[in-house]
Amino acid sequence: MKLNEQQISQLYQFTRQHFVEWYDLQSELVDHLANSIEDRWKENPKLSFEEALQLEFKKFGIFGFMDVIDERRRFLSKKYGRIIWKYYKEFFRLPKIILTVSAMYVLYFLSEKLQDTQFLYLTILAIIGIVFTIEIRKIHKTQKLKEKETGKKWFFEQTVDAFNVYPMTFLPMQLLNLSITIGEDGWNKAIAILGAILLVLFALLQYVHWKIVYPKITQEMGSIYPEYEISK
Amino acid sequence: MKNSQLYKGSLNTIIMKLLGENGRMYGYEITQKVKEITKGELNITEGALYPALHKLEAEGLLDVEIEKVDNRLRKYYKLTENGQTETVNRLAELEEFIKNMQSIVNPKLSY
Repeated sequence: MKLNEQQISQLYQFTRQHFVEWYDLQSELVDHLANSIEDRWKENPKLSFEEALQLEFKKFGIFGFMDVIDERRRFLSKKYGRIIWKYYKEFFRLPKIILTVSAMYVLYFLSEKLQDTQFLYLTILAIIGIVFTIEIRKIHKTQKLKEKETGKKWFFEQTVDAFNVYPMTFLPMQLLNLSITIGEDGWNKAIAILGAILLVLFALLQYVHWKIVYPKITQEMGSIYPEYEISK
Repeated sequence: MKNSQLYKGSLNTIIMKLLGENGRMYGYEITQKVKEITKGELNITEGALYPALHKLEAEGLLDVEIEKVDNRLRKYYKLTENGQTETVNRLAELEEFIKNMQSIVNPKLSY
Protein backbone atom coordinates (compact mmCIF):
# COMPACT_ATOMS: atom_id res chain seq x y z
CA MET A 1 0.00 0.00 0.00
CA LYS A 2 1.27 3.47 -0.92
CA LEU A 3 0.82 6.67 1.04
CA ASN A 4 -1.73 9.05 -0.41
CA GLU A 5 -1.24 12.72 -1.00
CA GLN A 6 -2.94 13.75 2.20
CA GLN A 7 -0.64 11.51 4.22
CA ILE A 8 2.37 12.99 2.45
CA SER A 9 1.31 16.49 3.43
CA GLN A 10 0.76 15.21 6.97
CA LEU A 11 4.38 14.06 6.92
CA TYR A 12 5.53 17.50 5.77
CA GLN A 13 3.58 18.99 8.64
CA PHE A 14 5.16 16.48 11.01
CA THR A 15 8.69 17.52 9.99
CA ARG A 16 7.73 21.18 10.45
CA GLN A 17 6.42 20.42 13.93
CA HIS A 18 9.75 18.83 14.70
CA PHE A 19 11.69 21.96 13.80
CA VAL A 20 12.68 21.15 10.25
CA GLU A 21 12.07 24.52 8.66
CA TRP A 22 13.50 24.06 5.21
CA TYR A 23 11.67 22.45 2.36
CA ASP A 24 14.82 20.89 0.86
CA LEU A 25 15.47 18.93 4.06
CA GLN A 26 11.78 18.27 4.74
CA SER A 27 11.42 16.53 1.37
CA GLU A 28 14.22 14.08 2.04
CA LEU A 29 12.89 13.17 5.49
CA VAL A 30 9.34 12.85 4.17
CA ASP A 31 10.47 10.38 1.52
CA HIS A 32 12.39 8.40 4.13
CA LEU A 33 9.46 8.23 6.54
CA ALA A 34 7.07 7.37 3.71
CA ASN A 35 9.27 4.48 2.53
CA SER A 36 9.64 3.04 5.99
CA ILE A 37 5.93 3.36 6.75
CA GLU A 38 5.11 1.57 3.49
CA ASP A 39 7.52 -1.21 4.41
CA ARG A 40 5.91 -1.53 7.82
CA TRP A 41 2.54 -1.90 6.15
CA LYS A 42 3.87 -4.80 4.10
CA GLU A 43 4.62 -6.64 7.35
CA ASN A 44 1.61 -5.44 9.27
CA PRO A 45 -1.17 -4.02 7.09
CA LYS A 46 -3.38 -3.32 10.10
CA LEU A 47 -1.03 -0.71 11.54
CA SER A 48 -2.49 2.80 11.38
CA PHE A 49 -0.62 5.63 9.66
CA GLU A 50 -0.06 7.50 12.94
CA GLU A 51 1.22 4.43 14.76
CA ALA A 52 3.63 3.57 11.97
CA LEU A 53 4.87 7.16 11.88
CA GLN A 54 5.53 7.23 15.63
CA LEU A 55 7.43 3.94 15.44
CA GLU A 56 9.58 5.23 12.59
CA PHE A 57 10.23 8.58 14.21
CA LYS A 58 11.49 6.79 17.32
CA LYS A 59 14.28 5.34 15.23
CA PHE A 60 15.77 8.82 14.87
CA GLY A 61 16.56 8.75 18.61
CA ILE A 62 15.59 11.02 21.48
CA PHE A 63 16.72 14.17 19.71
CA GLY A 64 14.48 13.43 16.74
CA PHE A 65 15.60 15.27 13.64
CA MET A 66 17.96 17.56 15.58
CA ASP A 67 21.19 15.82 14.58
CA VAL A 68 20.16 15.78 10.97
CA ILE A 69 19.20 19.46 11.08
CA ASP A 70 22.46 20.53 12.72
CA GLU A 71 24.65 18.68 10.27
CA ARG A 72 22.58 19.92 7.39
CA ARG A 73 22.87 23.51 8.53
CA ARG A 74 26.62 23.26 8.95
CA PHE A 75 27.31 21.66 5.62
CA LEU A 76 24.83 23.62 3.59
CA SER A 77 26.34 26.87 4.86
CA LYS A 78 29.68 25.61 3.64
CA LYS A 79 28.31 24.45 0.33
CA TYR A 80 26.36 27.60 -0.48
CA GLY A 81 29.21 29.71 0.88
CA ARG A 82 31.44 28.07 -1.71
CA ILE A 83 28.95 28.72 -4.52
CA ILE A 84 28.62 32.36 -3.48
CA TRP A 85 32.39 32.74 -3.34
CA LYS A 86 32.70 31.16 -6.80
CA TYR A 87 30.37 33.77 -8.28
CA TYR A 88 32.31 36.56 -6.61
CA LYS A 89 35.52 35.24 -8.13
CA GLU A 90 33.88 34.94 -11.55
CA PHE A 91 32.78 38.54 -11.34
CA PHE A 92 36.10 40.01 -10.31
CA ARG A 93 38.16 39.25 -13.39
CA LEU A 94 40.85 41.58 -14.68
CA PRO A 95 38.78 44.20 -16.59
CA LYS A 96 36.55 44.61 -13.57
CA ILE A 97 39.50 44.86 -11.25
CA ILE A 98 40.91 47.68 -13.40
CA LEU A 99 37.51 49.40 -13.36
CA THR A 100 37.30 48.99 -9.61
CA VAL A 101 40.71 50.51 -9.05
CA SER A 102 39.91 53.38 -11.44
CA ALA A 103 36.69 54.06 -9.58
CA MET A 104 38.66 54.23 -6.34
CA TYR A 105 41.10 56.64 -7.92
CA VAL A 106 38.37 58.88 -9.36
CA LEU A 107 36.69 59.05 -5.98
CA TYR A 108 39.93 60.00 -4.28
CA PHE A 109 40.65 62.56 -6.99
CA LEU A 110 37.22 64.12 -6.47
CA SER A 111 37.73 64.29 -2.73
CA GLU A 112 41.01 66.19 -3.28
CA LYS A 113 39.29 68.61 -5.65
CA LEU A 114 36.29 69.22 -3.47
CA GLN A 115 38.29 69.63 -0.26
CA ASP A 116 35.37 68.30 1.76
CA THR A 117 36.12 64.61 1.85
CA GLN A 118 33.76 63.94 4.67
CA PHE A 119 30.71 65.42 3.02
CA LEU A 120 31.40 63.68 -0.28
CA TYR A 121 31.95 60.27 1.25
CA LEU A 122 29.05 60.43 3.64
CA THR A 123 26.72 61.46 0.82
CA ILE A 124 27.84 58.55 -1.32
CA LEU A 125 27.56 56.16 1.61
CA ALA A 126 24.05 57.39 2.32
CA ILE A 127 23.02 56.92 -1.31
CA ILE A 128 24.41 53.38 -1.42
CA GLY A 129 22.72 52.64 1.89
CA ILE A 130 19.33 53.88 0.75
CA VAL A 131 19.47 52.18 -2.66
CA PHE A 132 20.38 48.79 -1.27
CA THR A 133 18.09 48.96 1.75
CA ILE A 134 15.23 49.41 -0.69
CA GLU A 135 16.55 46.61 -2.89
CA ILE A 136 16.97 44.16 0.02
CA ARG A 137 13.53 45.04 1.37
CA LYS A 138 12.08 44.20 -2.03
CA ILE A 139 13.84 40.83 -2.13
CA HIS A 140 12.74 39.98 1.41
CA LYS A 141 9.19 40.97 0.64
CA THR A 142 9.08 38.67 -2.38
CA GLN A 143 10.62 35.88 -0.30
CA LYS A 144 8.05 36.31 2.46
CA LEU A 145 5.18 36.43 -0.01
CA LYS A 146 6.36 33.29 -1.74
CA GLU A 147 6.84 31.57 1.60
CA LYS A 148 3.30 32.46 2.59
CA GLU A 149 1.87 31.30 -0.70
CA THR A 150 3.73 28.00 -0.92
CA GLY A 151 4.44 27.33 2.76
CA LYS A 152 8.01 26.51 1.77
CA LYS A 153 11.18 27.96 3.20
CA TRP A 154 14.51 27.41 1.47
CA PHE A 155 17.75 27.18 3.34
CA PHE A 156 19.84 28.85 0.67
CA GLU A 157 17.80 32.04 0.85
CA GLN A 158 18.76 32.35 4.46
CA THR A 159 22.41 31.66 3.64
CA VAL A 160 22.52 34.42 1.05
CA ASP A 161 21.16 36.76 3.70
CA ALA A 162 23.83 35.71 6.15
CA PHE A 163 26.50 36.84 3.71
CA ASN A 164 25.06 40.33 3.63
CA VAL A 165 27.85 42.88 3.86
CA TYR A 166 25.74 45.80 5.02
CA PRO A 167 27.16 45.96 8.58
CA MET A 168 30.49 46.84 6.96
CA THR A 169 29.07 50.33 6.44
CA PHE A 170 30.22 51.25 9.89
CA LEU A 171 33.88 50.85 9.06
CA PRO A 172 34.19 53.75 6.55
CA MET A 173 31.98 55.84 8.83
CA GLN A 174 34.26 55.30 11.80
CA LEU A 175 37.30 56.23 9.75
CA LEU A 176 35.67 59.44 8.61
CA ASN A 177 34.89 60.28 12.20
CA LEU A 178 38.51 59.70 13.11
CA SER A 179 39.60 62.14 10.45
CA ILE A 180 37.60 64.92 12.11
CA THR A 181 39.01 64.24 15.55
CA ILE A 182 42.61 64.03 14.48
CA GLY A 183 42.57 66.37 11.50
CA GLU A 184 46.21 66.41 10.37
CA ASP A 185 47.02 66.81 6.71
CA GLY A 186 48.93 63.60 6.11
CA TRP A 187 46.41 61.64 8.11
CA ASN A 188 43.55 63.19 6.13
CA LYS A 189 45.11 62.06 2.91
CA ALA A 190 45.44 58.52 4.16
CA ILE A 191 41.83 58.56 5.31
CA ALA A 192 40.71 59.89 1.92
CA ILE A 193 42.50 57.09 0.10
CA LEU A 194 41.32 54.38 2.46
CA GLY A 195 37.80 55.81 2.42
CA ALA A 196 37.72 55.77 -1.38
CA ILE A 197 38.87 52.14 -1.44
CA LEU A 198 36.36 51.02 1.17
CA LEU A 199 33.45 52.92 -0.36
CA VAL A 200 33.98 51.47 -3.82
CA LEU A 201 34.45 47.96 -2.41
CA PHE A 202 31.36 48.32 -0.30
CA ALA A 203 29.20 49.50 -3.19
CA LEU A 204 30.53 46.73 -5.43
CA LEU A 205 29.99 44.00 -2.85
CA GLN A 206 26.40 45.09 -2.38
CA TYR A 207 25.87 45.17 -6.11
CA VAL A 208 27.48 41.80 -6.81
CA HIS A 209 25.73 40.20 -3.86
CA TRP A 210 22.17 41.18 -4.64
CA LYS A 211 22.24 41.72 -8.37
CA ILE A 212 24.50 38.89 -9.51
CA VAL A 213 25.03 36.22 -6.85
CA TYR A 214 21.47 36.13 -5.56
CA PRO A 215 19.74 35.69 -8.95
CA LYS A 216 22.36 33.14 -9.99
CA ILE A 217 22.04 31.02 -6.90
CA THR A 218 18.26 31.15 -7.24
CA GLN A 219 18.65 29.90 -10.78
CA GLU A 220 21.03 27.15 -9.72
CA MET A 221 18.55 25.99 -7.10
CA GLY A 222 16.03 25.54 -9.89
CA SER A 223 18.25 22.97 -11.53
CA ILE A 224 18.98 21.12 -8.27
CA TYR A 225 15.43 21.23 -6.98
CA PRO A 226 12.87 21.07 -9.77
CA GLU A 227 10.25 21.79 -7.14
CA TYR A 228 11.83 25.17 -6.46
CA GLU A 229 11.03 26.25 -9.99
CA ILE A 230 7.44 25.20 -9.54
CA SER A 231 7.06 26.96 -6.21
CA LYS A 232 8.35 30.31 -7.50
CA MET B 1 23.79 0.59 14.80
CA LYS B 2 25.17 -2.58 16.26
CA ASN B 3 28.47 -2.09 18.15
CA SER B 4 28.21 1.46 17.01
CA GLN B 5 31.67 2.61 18.12
CA LEU B 6 33.39 0.03 15.94
CA TYR B 7 31.30 0.69 12.86
CA LYS B 8 31.08 4.44 13.17
CA GLY B 9 34.39 5.22 11.51
CA SER B 10 33.51 3.11 8.50
CA LEU B 11 30.05 4.51 7.78
CA ASN B 12 31.25 6.86 5.03
CA THR B 13 33.22 4.10 3.37
CA ILE B 14 30.21 1.76 3.50
CA ILE B 15 28.01 4.40 1.85
CA MET B 16 30.57 5.13 -0.86
CA LYS B 17 31.18 1.46 -1.59
CA LEU B 18 27.44 0.85 -2.00
CA LEU B 19 27.04 3.84 -4.29
CA GLY B 20 30.00 2.65 -6.33
CA GLU B 21 28.29 -0.69 -6.85
CA ASN B 22 24.72 0.43 -7.33
CA GLY B 23 25.06 3.74 -9.15
CA ARG B 24 22.53 6.07 -7.55
CA MET B 25 20.63 5.36 -4.34
CA TYR B 26 18.37 7.21 -1.93
CA GLY B 27 18.77 7.28 1.84
CA TYR B 28 16.20 4.68 2.76
CA GLU B 29 17.44 2.34 0.04
CA ILE B 30 20.94 2.48 1.56
CA THR B 31 19.71 1.47 5.03
CA GLN B 32 17.75 -1.43 3.51
CA LYS B 33 20.64 -2.57 1.35
CA VAL B 34 23.02 -2.69 4.29
CA LYS B 35 20.48 -4.65 6.29
CA GLU B 36 20.05 -7.07 3.41
CA ILE B 37 23.77 -7.63 2.77
CA THR B 38 24.59 -8.18 6.45
CA LYS B 39 21.41 -10.24 6.96
CA GLY B 40 20.11 -7.76 9.51
CA GLU B 41 23.30 -7.72 11.56
CA LEU B 42 24.19 -4.14 10.71
CA ASN B 43 21.52 -1.49 11.02
CA ILE B 44 22.44 2.02 9.95
CA THR B 45 20.46 4.52 12.01
CA GLU B 46 18.72 7.40 10.33
CA GLY B 47 20.30 9.86 12.69
CA ALA B 48 23.73 8.82 11.47
CA LEU B 49 23.01 8.19 7.79
CA TYR B 50 21.68 11.57 6.69
CA PRO B 51 24.37 13.66 8.37
CA ALA B 52 26.97 11.38 6.74
CA LEU B 53 25.34 11.74 3.31
CA HIS B 54 25.11 15.52 3.63
CA LYS B 55 28.71 15.70 4.73
CA LEU B 56 29.91 13.68 1.76
CA GLU B 57 27.80 15.86 -0.51
CA ALA B 58 29.34 19.00 0.97
CA GLU B 59 32.83 17.57 0.45
CA GLY B 60 32.04 17.19 -3.24
CA LEU B 61 32.22 13.39 -3.15
CA LEU B 62 28.51 12.92 -3.83
CA ASP B 63 26.12 14.51 -6.28
CA VAL B 64 22.34 14.65 -5.90
CA GLU B 65 19.38 14.24 -8.21
CA ILE B 66 15.80 14.95 -7.26
CA GLU B 67 12.91 13.09 -8.80
CA LYS B 68 9.23 12.88 -8.21
CA VAL B 69 8.27 9.32 -7.24
CA ASP B 70 4.83 8.25 -5.90
CA ASN B 71 3.60 11.81 -5.28
CA ARG B 72 6.68 12.74 -3.28
CA LEU B 73 10.19 13.97 -3.96
CA ARG B 74 13.06 11.54 -3.83
CA LYS B 75 16.67 12.57 -3.45
CA TYR B 76 19.18 10.27 -5.09
CA TYR B 77 22.88 10.28 -4.29
CA LYS B 78 25.66 9.20 -6.61
CA LEU B 79 29.44 9.37 -6.56
CA THR B 80 31.15 12.25 -8.30
CA GLU B 81 34.39 11.62 -10.17
CA ASN B 82 36.25 12.73 -7.09
CA GLY B 83 34.09 10.42 -5.05
CA GLN B 84 34.99 7.43 -7.19
CA THR B 85 38.71 7.97 -6.69
CA GLU B 86 38.20 8.56 -3.01
CA THR B 87 36.17 5.34 -2.69
CA VAL B 88 39.11 3.31 -4.00
CA ASN B 89 41.45 5.00 -1.51
CA ARG B 90 39.15 4.55 1.44
CA LEU B 91 38.46 0.91 0.64
CA ALA B 92 42.19 0.21 0.46
CA GLU B 93 42.59 1.96 3.79
CA LEU B 94 39.78 -0.07 5.32
CA GLU B 95 41.25 -3.33 4.05
CA GLU B 96 44.59 -2.41 5.52
CA PHE B 97 42.84 -1.71 8.82
CA ILE B 98 41.06 -5.06 8.75
CA LYS B 99 44.34 -6.84 8.01
CA ASN B 100 46.11 -5.12 10.92
CA MET B 101 43.26 -5.87 13.28
CA GLN B 102 43.35 -9.45 12.15
CA SER B 103 47.03 -9.76 13.05
CA ILE B 104 46.36 -8.28 16.46
CA VAL B 105 43.22 -10.25 17.26
CA ASN B 106 44.31 -13.48 15.72
CA PRO B 107 48.12 -13.54 15.43
CA LYS B 108 48.34 -17.17 14.30
CA LEU B 109 46.46 -16.47 11.06
CA SER B 110 48.42 -13.45 10.14
CA TYR B 111 51.27 -14.88 8.11
